[in-house]
Amino acid sequence: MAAISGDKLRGHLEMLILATLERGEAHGLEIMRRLEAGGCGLLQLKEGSLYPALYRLEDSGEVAAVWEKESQGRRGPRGRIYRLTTKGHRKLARGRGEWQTFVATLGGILLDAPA
Amino acid sequence: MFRDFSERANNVMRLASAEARALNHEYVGTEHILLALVAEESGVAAEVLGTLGFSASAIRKGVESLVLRGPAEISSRELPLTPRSQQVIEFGREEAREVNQEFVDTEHLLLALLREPDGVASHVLRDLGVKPDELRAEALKARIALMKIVERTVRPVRASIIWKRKMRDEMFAHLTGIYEQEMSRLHDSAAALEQAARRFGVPGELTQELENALPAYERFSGFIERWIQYRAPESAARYSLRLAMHTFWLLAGSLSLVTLGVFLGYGWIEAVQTLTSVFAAILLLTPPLQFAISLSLIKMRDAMWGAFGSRKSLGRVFAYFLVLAVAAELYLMGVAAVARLDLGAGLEAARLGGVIGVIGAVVFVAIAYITGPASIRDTKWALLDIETA
Repeated sequence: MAAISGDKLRGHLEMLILATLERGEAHGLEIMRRLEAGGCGLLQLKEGSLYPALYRLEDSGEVAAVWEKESQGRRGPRGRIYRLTTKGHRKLARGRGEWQTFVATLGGILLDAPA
Repeated sequence: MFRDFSERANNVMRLASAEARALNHEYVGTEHILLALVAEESGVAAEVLGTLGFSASAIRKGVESLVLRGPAEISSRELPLTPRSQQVIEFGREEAREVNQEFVDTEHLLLALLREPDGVASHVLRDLGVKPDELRAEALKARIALMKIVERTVRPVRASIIWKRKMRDEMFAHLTGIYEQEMSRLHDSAAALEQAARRFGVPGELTQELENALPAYERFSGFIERWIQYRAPESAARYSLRLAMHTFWLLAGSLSLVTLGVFLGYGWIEAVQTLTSVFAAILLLTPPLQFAISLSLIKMRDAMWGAFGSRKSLGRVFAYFLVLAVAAELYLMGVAAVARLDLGAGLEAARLGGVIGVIGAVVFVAIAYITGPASIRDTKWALLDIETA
């Protein structure tokens, strides 16, 4: 499979983050790990780019963040732990719905190979 | 053992105690802490010393040649720390605060140890040909490189200091996490730094993304704050002077507008004259007061937390407390005098000034205590030279 390029990815990054947070709250490193695991490492996302997306989500009230108490065994300073808000859950559900419609509509045409 | 130490750091302290006991020493000194740090498997100390060409056994031999084994086995359960070791613990706490960590870790203990030039540990290292300063610089190399990457990304963003502090702390935590992952894979600091930088992203691009993600109010705050933010590498005095000048112009503009309005409305009656002289007093006396407050606050902060060359000193904190109280009192008396209030009212102003001055000074001490560590960290980030690698 070819790797997925940056621009296509950035458009959906916020939705992807919301989806990974559905499994439970996480800090930046953990969100990255879940994304890599889920996308089989083909996302080629620059880890720093997580933060602009997270800040946008936080500003629109779809995620909330608190500073962790301690680094939990990791070396180095504390990070913030993000979790989905109710608004975030709703946005995720809407996004899923839109995605399924998208796939169903275009999939019908794109994936129909001639015999 | 210590509530504000990480598991690893407490292990090191336990190990240090054991090392002391093994040498039949009655106290845990800096040399025992050094031995414990070097013995720690996953430790920064071993790594850093290795980079400079020293082995754990060389350090151990160094300690044993400098310090005699004690005569008898130690029976007491808990071994006390020497005053130097206690100083190291305190320095360790300062090191942790510097990077916004609540718990002291082993790397902070190492950096702390290297700040104590008269301890046995420093003597041992010097005997072996290692300058504690060099070792400290080596231990900090990776962290400074990581900080520079973060600072290149965050510094150009036009947001408030609080927002930027959040971005710096968070992205630094993440970047450090990536670096540690790469270190456990590659076991080489330079390679790990390269990989971490690659995974993190290009500072210029990230800066743009962060700018685009700013809420509107942050853009506004950022615009305002640019005037009053500290601009490295200016001195505390220069910064305070700059703020005082801003205050002067702000007051000059606003007060003269008000005076003009009142004059046009009522003419040059006595009340207007008094108002004008009070305004003149405020205009002349506020900038010096502002200067005194700003400079005293910075110096007080440094004396309270032991930063930027100041030793921790409660005496100096109190001295600045007095300076602030007196400055406020003089200000209020000055305004009253220029407004040519009669003697009775003048004395009232002096007493009131005294009370306000003391209350104000207490508030400032609280400010220095609460915001000190964050403000010191901000300045350290601002002082980073990001042009060079």
